[in-house]
Amino acid sequence: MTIAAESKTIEHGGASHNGEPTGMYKWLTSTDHKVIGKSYMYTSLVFLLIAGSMAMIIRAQLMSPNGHVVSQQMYNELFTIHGSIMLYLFAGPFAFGGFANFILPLQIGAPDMAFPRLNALSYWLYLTGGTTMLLGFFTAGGAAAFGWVAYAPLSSYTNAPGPGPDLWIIAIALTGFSGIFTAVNLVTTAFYLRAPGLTMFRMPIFTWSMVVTGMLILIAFPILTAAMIMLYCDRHLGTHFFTVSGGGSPVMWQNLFWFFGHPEVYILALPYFGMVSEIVPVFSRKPVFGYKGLVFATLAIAALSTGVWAHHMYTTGTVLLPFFSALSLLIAVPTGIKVFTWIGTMWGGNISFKTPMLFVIGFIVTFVMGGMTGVMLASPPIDFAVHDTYFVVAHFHQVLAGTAIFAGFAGFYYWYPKLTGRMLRESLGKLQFWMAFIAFNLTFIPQYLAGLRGMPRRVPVYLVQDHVTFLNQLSSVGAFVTFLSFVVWLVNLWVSWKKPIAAGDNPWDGHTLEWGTSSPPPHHNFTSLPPIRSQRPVWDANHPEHADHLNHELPKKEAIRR
Amino acid sequence: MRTVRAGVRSFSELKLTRKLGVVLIGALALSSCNPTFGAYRGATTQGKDIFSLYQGFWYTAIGVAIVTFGALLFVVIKFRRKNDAIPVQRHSNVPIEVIYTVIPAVIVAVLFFFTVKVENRVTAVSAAPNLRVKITAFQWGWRFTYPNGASVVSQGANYPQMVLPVGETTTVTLVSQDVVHGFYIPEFNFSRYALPGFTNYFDLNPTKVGTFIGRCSALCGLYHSEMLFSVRVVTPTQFQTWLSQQKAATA
Amino acid sequence: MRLMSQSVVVPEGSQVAPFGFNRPSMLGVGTIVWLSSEVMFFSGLFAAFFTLRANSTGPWPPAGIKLDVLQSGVFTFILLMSSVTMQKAVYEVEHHRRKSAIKWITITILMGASFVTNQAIEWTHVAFAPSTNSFGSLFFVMTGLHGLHVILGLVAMLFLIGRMAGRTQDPGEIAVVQSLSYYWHFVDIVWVALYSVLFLVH
Ligand code: HEA
Ligand code: HEA
Ligand code: CUA
Ligand SMILES: [Cu+2]
Repeated sequence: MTIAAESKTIEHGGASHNGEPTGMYKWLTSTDHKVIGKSYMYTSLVFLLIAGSMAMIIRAQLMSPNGHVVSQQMYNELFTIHGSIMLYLFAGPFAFGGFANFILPLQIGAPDMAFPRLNALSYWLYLTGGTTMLLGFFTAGGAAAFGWVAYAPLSSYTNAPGPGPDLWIIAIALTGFSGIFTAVNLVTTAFYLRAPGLTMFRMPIFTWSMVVTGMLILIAFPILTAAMIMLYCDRHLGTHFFTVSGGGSPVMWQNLFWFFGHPEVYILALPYFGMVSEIVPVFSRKPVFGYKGLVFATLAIAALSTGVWAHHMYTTGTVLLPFFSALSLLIAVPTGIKVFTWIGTMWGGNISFKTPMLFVIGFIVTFVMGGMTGVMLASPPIDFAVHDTYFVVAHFHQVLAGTAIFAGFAGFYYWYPKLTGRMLRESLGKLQFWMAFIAFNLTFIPQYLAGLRGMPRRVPVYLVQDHVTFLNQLSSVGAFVTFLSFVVWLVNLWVSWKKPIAAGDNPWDGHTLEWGTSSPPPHHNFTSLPPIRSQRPVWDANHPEHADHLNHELPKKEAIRR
Repeated sequence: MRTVRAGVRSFSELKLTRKLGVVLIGALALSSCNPTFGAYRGATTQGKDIFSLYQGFWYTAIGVAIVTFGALLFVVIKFRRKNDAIPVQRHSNVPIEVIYTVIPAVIVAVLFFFTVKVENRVTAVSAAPNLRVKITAFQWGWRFTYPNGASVVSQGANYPQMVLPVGETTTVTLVSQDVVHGFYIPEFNFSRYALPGFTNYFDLNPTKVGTFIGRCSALCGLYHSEMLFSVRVVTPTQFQTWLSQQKAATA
Repeated sequence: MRLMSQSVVVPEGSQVAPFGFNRPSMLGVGTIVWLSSEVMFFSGLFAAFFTLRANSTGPWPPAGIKLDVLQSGVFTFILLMSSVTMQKAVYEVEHHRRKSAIKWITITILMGASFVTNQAIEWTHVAFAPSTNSFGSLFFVMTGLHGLHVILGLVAMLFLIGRMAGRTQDPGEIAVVQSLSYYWHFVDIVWVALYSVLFLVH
C-alpha cells in the first residue's frame, strides 16, 4: 500500500510542500520533518510526564512497608504501564522520532526525509498507539498488569482477562509499526539524500547512531510484532504457542520477547550516545576523538546486542549460560570505547560547562555506574542472587534514565535554539541539572541496597524484617525531588517563551551542518550549503585556520605532535 | 599547546603505571577487610561461592571506576574553559585507542573466567544427594514434597516452611503448576524460576543453622508480593525427627 | 553510495533524473530496507516453528495432521511463476511499454489470486483447527500471515494498474513497479520456505 502511495516523493525528489499551511492545520497535515520531529518530541515529553507521574504514585505507595495509596491490582497496572510508556512511548520516540527526525536531515544537508508522508504516518501511528495504551485504564478490568515483559502464561486470557491487555498488545503493535517505518525512512534518507561531499565516513556520529539504531529496529521490532500476534492468537483463537497444553512453550515467549527486548534497550541507548558524541566536541572545541573507533563501537554494540537476549533468562535454567554471559560481558568493551572517546575528546580541550555539557557529565557518571552493575548482572551466578530484585531496577534506571533523561535533556538544551530560535536560561538549566542529578541518584542508589537485601521487584508491599523501609523512603524522597526538577524545566520553557532571547544561527559554535542554516531552519532547510570537506563543515567554515582538512595536508606536523 | 602535550603524555603514563598500581593496592586493602558491598555472605556453599564472585566483580568495578571517573574528573578540572583559545585539533591517537580497547577486553576475559568457574560449581547437580525435595509453585503458594511422602503447603495465614539439613546436599526439583514463579531465598544468594512445563534441578548445601525468608521473585499476578515461605535449616538428626513427624501429620 | 548521494539533492520543484535500470530508486532502497524487517518478521515465525517442533514430545506433525502436498505444490509452482510474470512486467515498463506491462501485472494478479483462493479452500478442508495443537496453530498463523502479505501485494497491484491505466506519462511508475516486484519476489521466496517447512520436511 505504502509502496504505491509513496510514488509522489519520487516525482518531486523527496520533498514537496507548496503553499505552506499554518497554525493547527499545519501541525495536523504537515509532512515536514521538522514539524513531525517537534510533534514527536512534545508528545513524548507528555508521555514522560504521564509515566513519571505514575512513578510518583509507585514511590508514594512504597514509602511504607504496607502502603495504602493504591490497590495491589492498581499497583501492577501502574508499573506495567509506567515501564511500557517509558520505553515504547517516551525514550524511543523522544530520540528516534523527535531528535532524529528533526536533526538527521539537517545534519546531512537534505531538504527533508526520503518519504515525508510515511513519516507523518509514523507519527500518527505512534500517537494512536500511545492513546490506545492509556485507554486500558478506562476499561472495566483495568489496564494490562503483567509487567512490560508480559510473560506467558501470565498474559494468557485466563490469567489476564479483559480488554486492557488487548489494548496493550495493539498499542505495542502500532508503535512497533511506527518505529519500523521511521527506521526505513531514516536509513533510506541517510543512504540516499546526503549532500554532495558528505561521504559515509563524514557523517556525524549522531547520524551514524541513528542509522545503526534504525538497523537494530529493523532486526528487533518485527520479532516483537510476530510475538504479539502469537500472543493475541493464544488469547482469542485458542492457539497453543505459549500454553503447555497443546504443545506450546511458555519459555518461547521469553526467548522471543528478549530477542527483541535486549536490542530494544540499545535502540533506546544508541541515539542518546549519538547526541553525547555531538555535544562533547562542541563544548570542548575539538573534533570527536577516535571517530572511526566510535563508528566501529556503535556497530559492534549493535551486532553484540542481538546475541545476548538470554541474559534476562539466566534463572530460567533453560539457556546456555557461558555463551550468553560471554557476549554480555563483551558489550562492556565497545561501550567502554565510547566512554573513553568522550573523555578523550574533552582531554586537551577548552571545555565550557553550559547546561548541555553538564547534563552530559551527569549522563556519563550515571551511565557508567549503571553499566558496571550491568556487568555484574551479566555474570549468571551473581544474577541468580539478584535477579528480579530492586538491584535490577536500579541498574536499568541508571542506564535508561541516564541516557533518556540526562543525555536526552543535554540534547534538548543543545538543540532547543535550533528548534525554536530561542535560548533557554542557563541559570534555570543549571538548577534543573543539579536537582535532577542529586535527586535521581538519591532515588536509585538506595535501590541497589534494597535489592541486595532481598527486596523483589513488582511488589506493592514489603516486609519490615527486610530492613528496607529506610532505603525505600530515601528513594521516594529522591523521586519527588526529581519531579520538582522538571518543574524548574517547565519554568525555563515558560520564561523562554515569554521573554525570548534570540539564539542566532549558531549559538554554541556548533560543528555540523544543522548549525549552518538559520534557527529555526527555513522550509527546505538550506538556502545554501557550505563546502563539505570533513565531518565538520560548519567548523571548517567558521575556523578556516583550524579546519579539519588542513590537518590532512600537513601530515608531518601531526606526526611530530604525536 | 604545551599543556596539551604534557597532558597526553601523563595520560598514557598514568594509565600504565600509577593507576594500575592504585587499583591493585586498593583491591588488596579492600580484600583484607572483606566487605560485603551490601550483599549477604551466603548461607549455602553455593551462596558463598556467589558471594566471593560478587566481591571480585566489585573490586574490578572499583578499579574501573577509579580510572574512568578519575580521568573524567581530571579533564573536567584541568581543561575547563579559561580563555577563548582554540585547542589542538586532535582527531585520534591510535596507541591510546588500542589501550582502551584491549585493557577492558582483558578485564572482561578475566571476569568471564571466574564466572564460568563459579557457575559450574553453583549449577552442578549431585548424582547422589542426601535428600531430594520437590517444590511446586502455584498462585500463590508453595508445596514442598519430601521423598517419604511428607509435604508442606501454606495453611491459612501461615506461610509454608521448608526444612533442610545443614551440611548435607539437597537436590531440589522445581516446577510450577500455573504461571512463572521465582523461587528465591535472599540469604542463600540464589533464585531459580519455577516454570510451567519445564522442570528445574539444583543443589542446596546449607552451611548455617537458622531460619531464612524465602519469596517469589517473578511477577505472578495479584498476590505475587504475598507468596512467601521460609527455610529452616536444622541439624541432620533434628531433620530426621521433623521428617517423621511431618509424615505422620501428612498422613 | 557516493554516486547516489551526488545526484539526489534536489532543488525545489525539479525532478529526479531518470535512473538507470541497475541503480535502485529511492523508493527501491526504501523497499529493500523495509523488506529486511519483513525477513525478521518471518524469521520470528520460523523460530517459533522450530522451537515448538523441538518442544513436542510425540511425533511431528502430531497424529491426525494430513496435508495435501501435491495440490499445494501445484499452487506453489503457480506462485513462483508469478514472480517471472512480475519480472516481465518490470522489463516491459522499463522499456516504456506500458500497455504490455499492465497486461503482465494482470496475469500476475490472477496467479496470485488463484494461490490465495487455493489457500482459502485448503483452510476449510484440513481436518484440524488452530486450537487442535501447536502444529495447527503454527500452520494457520504462518500461512495466514503469509496470505495477508499476498493479498496486500494484490491490492497494491490493483492500485498500480489503476494508476498506470489513467495516465499517459508517469516518470515515477518505473520505480513503483520495480519496488512492488521486490516485494512480490520476497513474498514468493517466503512461501517456498513455508511450503518446505510445513508441507515437506515438517
Ligand atoms: C539503556 C538501556 C540499557 C543499557 C545500556 C544496559 C546495559 C547493560 N545491561 Fe542492562 N538492562 C536494561 C537496560 C539497559 N541495560 C533493562 C531495561 C533491564 C531490565 C529489563 C527488565 O527485566 O524489566 C536490564 C537488565 C539487564 C540484565 C538482566 C538482569 C535480570 O533481570 O536479572 C542484565 C544481565 O546481564 C543486563 C546487563 C547489561 C550489560 C552487561 C550492559 C552493558 O551494555 C553495560 C556496558 C557499560 C559499561 C560496562 C560501562 C562503561 C564501560 C567502561 C567504563 C569500560 C570498562 C569496563 C569494564 C572492563 C567492565 N541488563
Ligand atoms: C526510560 C525509562 C524509565 C524512566 C525514565 C523511569 C523513571 C522513573 N522510574 Fe521507572 N521503570 C522503567 C523505566 C523507566 N523509569 C521500567 C522499564 C520499569 C519496569 C516495569 C516493569 O516492572 O514491568 C520501571 C519500574 C520502576 C519501578 C519498579 C516498580 C516495581 O517493580 O514495583 C520504580 C520504583 O521505584 C520506578 C521508579 C521510577 C522513578 C521514580 C522515575 C523517575 O526518574 C521519573 C522522573 C520523571 C518525572 C517525574 C516526570 C517529569 C515531568 C515532566 C517531564 C513534565 C513534562 C511536561 C510537559 C511536556 C507538559 N520505575
Ligand atoms: Cu509467584 Cu510471584
Ligand atoms: Cu539485556
